[in-house]
Amino acid sequence: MMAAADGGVSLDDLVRTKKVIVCVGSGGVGKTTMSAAIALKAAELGRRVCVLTIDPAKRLANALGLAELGNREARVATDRLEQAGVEHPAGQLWALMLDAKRTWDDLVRRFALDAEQATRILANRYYQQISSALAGSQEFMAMEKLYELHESGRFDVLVLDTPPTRHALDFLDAPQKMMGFMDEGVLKVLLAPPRMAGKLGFGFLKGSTAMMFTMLERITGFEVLRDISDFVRSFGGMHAGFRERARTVEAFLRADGSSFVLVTSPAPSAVEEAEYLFRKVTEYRMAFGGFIVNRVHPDALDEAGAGEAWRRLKDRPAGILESLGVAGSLPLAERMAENFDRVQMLAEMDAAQIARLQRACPGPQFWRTVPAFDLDVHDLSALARVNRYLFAR
Amino acid sequence: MANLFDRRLLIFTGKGGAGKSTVAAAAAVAAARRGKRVLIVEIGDHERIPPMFEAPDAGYAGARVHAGRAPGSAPIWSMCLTAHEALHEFAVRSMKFEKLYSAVFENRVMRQFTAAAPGLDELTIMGKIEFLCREPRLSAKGPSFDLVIFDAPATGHGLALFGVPKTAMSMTRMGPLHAKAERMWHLLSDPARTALNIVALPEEMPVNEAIDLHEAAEQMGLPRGKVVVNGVYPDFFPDEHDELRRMREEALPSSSPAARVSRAALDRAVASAVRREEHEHMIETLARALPQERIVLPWIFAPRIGPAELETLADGLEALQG
Repeated sequence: MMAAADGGVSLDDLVRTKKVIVCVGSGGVGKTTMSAAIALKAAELGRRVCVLTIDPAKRLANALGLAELGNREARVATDRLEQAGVEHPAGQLWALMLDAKRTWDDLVRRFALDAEQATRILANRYYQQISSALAGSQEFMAMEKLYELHESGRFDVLVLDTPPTRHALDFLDAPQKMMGFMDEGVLKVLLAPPRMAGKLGFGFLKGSTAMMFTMLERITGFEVLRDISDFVRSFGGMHAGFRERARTVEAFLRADGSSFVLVTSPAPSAVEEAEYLFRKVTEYRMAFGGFIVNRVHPDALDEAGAGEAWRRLKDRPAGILESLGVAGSLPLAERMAENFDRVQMLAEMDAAQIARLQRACPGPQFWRTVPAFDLDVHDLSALARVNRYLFAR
Repeated sequence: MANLFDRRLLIFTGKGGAGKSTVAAAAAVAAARRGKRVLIVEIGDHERIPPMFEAPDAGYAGARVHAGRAPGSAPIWSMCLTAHEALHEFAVRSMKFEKLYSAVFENRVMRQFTAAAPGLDELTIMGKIEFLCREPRLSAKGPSFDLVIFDAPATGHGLALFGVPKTAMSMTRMGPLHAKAERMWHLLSDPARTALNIVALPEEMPVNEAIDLHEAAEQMGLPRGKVVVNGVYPDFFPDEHDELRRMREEALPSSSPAARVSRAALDRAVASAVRREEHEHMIETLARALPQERIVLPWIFAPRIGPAELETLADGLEALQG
């Protein structure tokens, strides 16, 4: 088993002290489950915790046994926590699945100068498309929601489950991108009525900007530009608020109170993505906590004398039944031996992948492993079982 | 169902980690065996397809990853599509002059705008996919292919990608972009040319996600392909699950290394049986919820997917033909 901490903080420390824990990793490694398990532990320690997912599928709902998660945080009932052995009087577990569209709408209402402006924006076609139909706005809004919940002061710690790795860049870039979109330069250009800008471009604007409009008109058609232009114009006076917000969110993610946890499985493709993501998180200079390697097949031959004992048993599989003191057929014992070797091969493959990941990602971070369970983890008791591996007993 | 290999565009999507890339690559091998010349398209900055064929990265330009020398079989090409390069290519093509492209797209204001404008990346990617199906060659003089296999992003982002042409159509009403978006949507929604295949693992959450994905795809009007259940654990103990459980009840406490390893062998046998039961149960759940035909692919006991493993999986994917 790996050490809980190699000079850095442990996952126990993070859950006790941090204000934000961001779980990143590729798809299918159990990131949602790990986020939920970490949140459950925080509640067990008496903290008020909320876990957020921005994954479009309702996986967190499954993991928490909640039928429906809206854009509003919902509290997991105390008796359900007690059933899972979590009984701290101060601890609260909340969960939320982000609805990007509703978060956008709330943000517009908050920053609008008056109700009339809010109505105009909410009715704009371009606004309606970017806020609901298109990807990318989810990442913007996850950051926003995270900050909003933090500001509310209702929670001691927030656990964020993020979209799969290939979009990790989007996610880490979200505040930056949002600032770019709200940039004065873009606004100035778009604030001019498109036809005017096209006509007057050579006189008042740089040649390249005029060309940009010709190009945009050519590839997009006229109407979309007018919608965008209306959209940006209707944000008049609001963008300073937005930009300030985006900056604050970014600073907040880099602050001492935040920490990133990388979740992976020992599958080669997941390990590759984990290496990539580790480099990214480091490049972005985000505070990094450590690794959780989930779905590991444990090695059954790491005990002294086990290898030798197994070689003898393999030569005479009947010995397996004798050692166990049970009756059974010889063919069954032979297949048990075969099955043992196959699973041992999986265990060795997993160990080699973890070793590779550890070589590729040096540093003072913690490493935790969680075994592959026979059954899926989708209720609170199962989450508590996961926590026996994630945290010191 | 008609032979899916006769279509132009086979899309593979599903939950992250379900093995979309592996299934897409194996489907290409199955199609190539039938003499179909296949281009696999993947997205992002990290290529997964070429390593499975033990080929170097193909890049945006694309490269052949599989020779297809066996009689009657065809080669496989792969390319890695990024929105940035596709937008560049598109702009240069529609503006004719590289210099104009730099003037427009390297413009600071424009660059910030294109980086931030939600949906532009998706639209560019769908535009390139449509172009590849209409002009099925990697370069003007390059060899042509019969089938594009699209290793699409996971559920949520995949759906956003397939939804973007309609969004663009509703936003523009007319004009050149409208016409382009319409062409993308006609391809995507045409059951004669396209099929959306869902890749799932036989586990609770991936199965739930596959069901949600299916419903969303039906609502959007994407043509049904197959459901591929990947990584199904073999049944090593077909008639002995109960006996193994009884043995675990009766087993003596372990004291020596031999007894402890024997106990591990028993635990592993029970775990394998339980995993198999769970997988069967999940396949049944999928069968009840989804109307399309299922293809079940075996768990691969190998450190990584290489050409030999792709051949094994391609055997299972022969069912895409009918």
